[in-house]
Amino acid sequence: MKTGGEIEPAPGNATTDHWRAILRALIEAILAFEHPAFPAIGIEEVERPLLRDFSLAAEGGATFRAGLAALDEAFAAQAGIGAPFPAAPLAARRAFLRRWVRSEAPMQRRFYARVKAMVLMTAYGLPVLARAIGHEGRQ
Amino acid sequence: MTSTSIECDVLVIGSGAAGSVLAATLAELTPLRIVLVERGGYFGREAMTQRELQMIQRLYADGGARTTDDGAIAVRGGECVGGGTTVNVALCLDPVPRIWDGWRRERHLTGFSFDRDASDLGVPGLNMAACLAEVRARLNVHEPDDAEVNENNRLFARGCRAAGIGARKFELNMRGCVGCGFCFAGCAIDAKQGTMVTYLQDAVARGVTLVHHCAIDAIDFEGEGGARRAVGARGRIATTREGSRPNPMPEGLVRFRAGLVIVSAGAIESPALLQRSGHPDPHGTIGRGLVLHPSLGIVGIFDHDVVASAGIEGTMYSDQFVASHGFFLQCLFAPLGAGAATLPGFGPEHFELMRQVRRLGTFGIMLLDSVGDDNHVVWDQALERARIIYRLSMADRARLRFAAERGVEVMFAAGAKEVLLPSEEALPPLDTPWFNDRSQAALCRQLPFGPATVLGSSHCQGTAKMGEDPATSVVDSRCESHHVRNLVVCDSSSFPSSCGANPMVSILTLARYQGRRLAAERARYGL
Repeated sequence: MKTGGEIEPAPGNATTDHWRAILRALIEAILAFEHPAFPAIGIEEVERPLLRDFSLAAEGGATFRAGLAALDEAFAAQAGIGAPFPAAPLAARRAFLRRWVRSEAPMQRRFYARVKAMVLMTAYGLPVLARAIGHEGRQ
Repeated sequence: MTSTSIECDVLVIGSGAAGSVLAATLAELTPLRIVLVERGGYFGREAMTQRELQMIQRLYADGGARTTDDGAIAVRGGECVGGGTTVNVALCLDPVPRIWDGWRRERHLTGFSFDRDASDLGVPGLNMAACLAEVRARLNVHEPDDAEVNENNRLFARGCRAAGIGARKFELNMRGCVGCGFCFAGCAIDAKQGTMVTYLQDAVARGVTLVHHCAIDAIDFEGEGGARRAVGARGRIATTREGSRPNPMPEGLVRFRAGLVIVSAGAIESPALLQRSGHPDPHGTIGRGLVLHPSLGIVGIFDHDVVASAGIEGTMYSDQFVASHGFFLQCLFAPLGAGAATLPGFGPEHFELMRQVRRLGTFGIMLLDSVGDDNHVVWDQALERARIIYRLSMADRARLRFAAERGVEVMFAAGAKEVLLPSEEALPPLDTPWFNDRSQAALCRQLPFGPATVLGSSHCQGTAKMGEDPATSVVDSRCESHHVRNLVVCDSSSFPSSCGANPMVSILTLARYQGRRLAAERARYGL
């Protein structure tokens, strides 16, 4: 049985920073920070509670980390941008993510669904974003 | 690493809909020493924060990320004390006598009488009707008041009526619900009467030992051939996670020695446990014939506020097409984040849709899928997890297309101005199934149900089927293994096919029935 928790990168660890850079790039792609009605919050205001409620290093994190790495590698090999996923333009990241939505590879579709759910559950749990769409939020 | 040995008379593996009832019933009717183990944590109401991502990590198998192997169906399951009854939305449908009669006839099952005066298997007063009545009373199953039917459910009922389809109220296992809309993330006020707050409390009050965070690696057997019997199990107790109630046992290796082993880990984990334990399987029946009740959401955009999140999520449903086409329409609405995740797309287009959240109404289709031998659960030793291999049959796809078409019609009939499905697949001439006119419902006949359509499942069944023929079943009418003595498998995996309804009450009733039988027949197990 996998018990998880085998990897607990220290803050500032280069590998952790790499995963987090990809995750931040995904948060930006999945949400709509550029939309005029989107509240004035930054990526970190979503990333922080997401990593509070889902530890990249804990149980279940291994599969997710593998997904982050696979996305980054596939982007480098296929997107033709000449930049890693976190550094690529927003439009290029979104276009690439759309390819994973209808991908023939189950791992890619599963990862897309998972990261989308994680980001949206966290983001819409923020009172400021819930209010921005007219929702009362948590009771 | 600490190693603990525990002696007991009965070991129950899994604390969900079946395990808690079995433990409580045996504790009520016998003086046996009972241990109930649960792989997940014990998260009581004090831990139900309504932070969706956190609660999914705490309460669901694989942190909510479990899917079929092809990623086409999200297979949700509670992995916590109370199991699925902790995370479901309290919808109660009674066992369907027609289905059970069919199982008795086709699989030569004995017992399971719905006659209140029957004494099945020679046990005085044992019958399904009596057990169902007890379960309903303990869970406070009741019909909600009209005032508890929110606008989303009222619109659904109106749409059904306008489309010439019958709709009726669900019964719910609730007591004092305030309609916060976070059922799926665990009830923060114990209004939901799942087994964690009912049968489990009864069990513990009567001396049952609950061990949580305990993953069972394997059941232990002794003897060979026809003399093979279950004598216990071994596993590991993990560190108690933040938010969980404390564990009575230390973390580390654990070995249980028991006179009777009952497996109630659900239709994914029960067969996986049997497989990795080396349970004999000469006919390849363990894990075969998985049923999922695949579900598909229907989303409507109205020109007025619906505020579907206000009030009880699900109070209305339609069984109009159950007999003819094998599907339900059931009204539900997910919390904000989970709902956002099911809507198609991302980025600005998704946000535009979310800005209309007050005007969104939803309900779902639940297909009673057929049994196919290719659909199965298999323990993968290399991956160290159960794999779920499942594809909709051609006939089931056709029924789901028909259901989607009816669902879109109902949503338009309810007054929606636009209707969409949670799919990112092209539906020519549309980019995605997003309709702005009722006439477009007919396009559902072309739905591919490919991998970019997100179907859901919360009702896994049928992977350790009951039947008197060992060539086609894993357990007999007593839920006893055909091949291993003193081993009972009793949960939704025991159903030979779809139970024909949301399965919670059927599972609890089966468990109450087998619990009563086990108590009366304990000498059969040397107890």
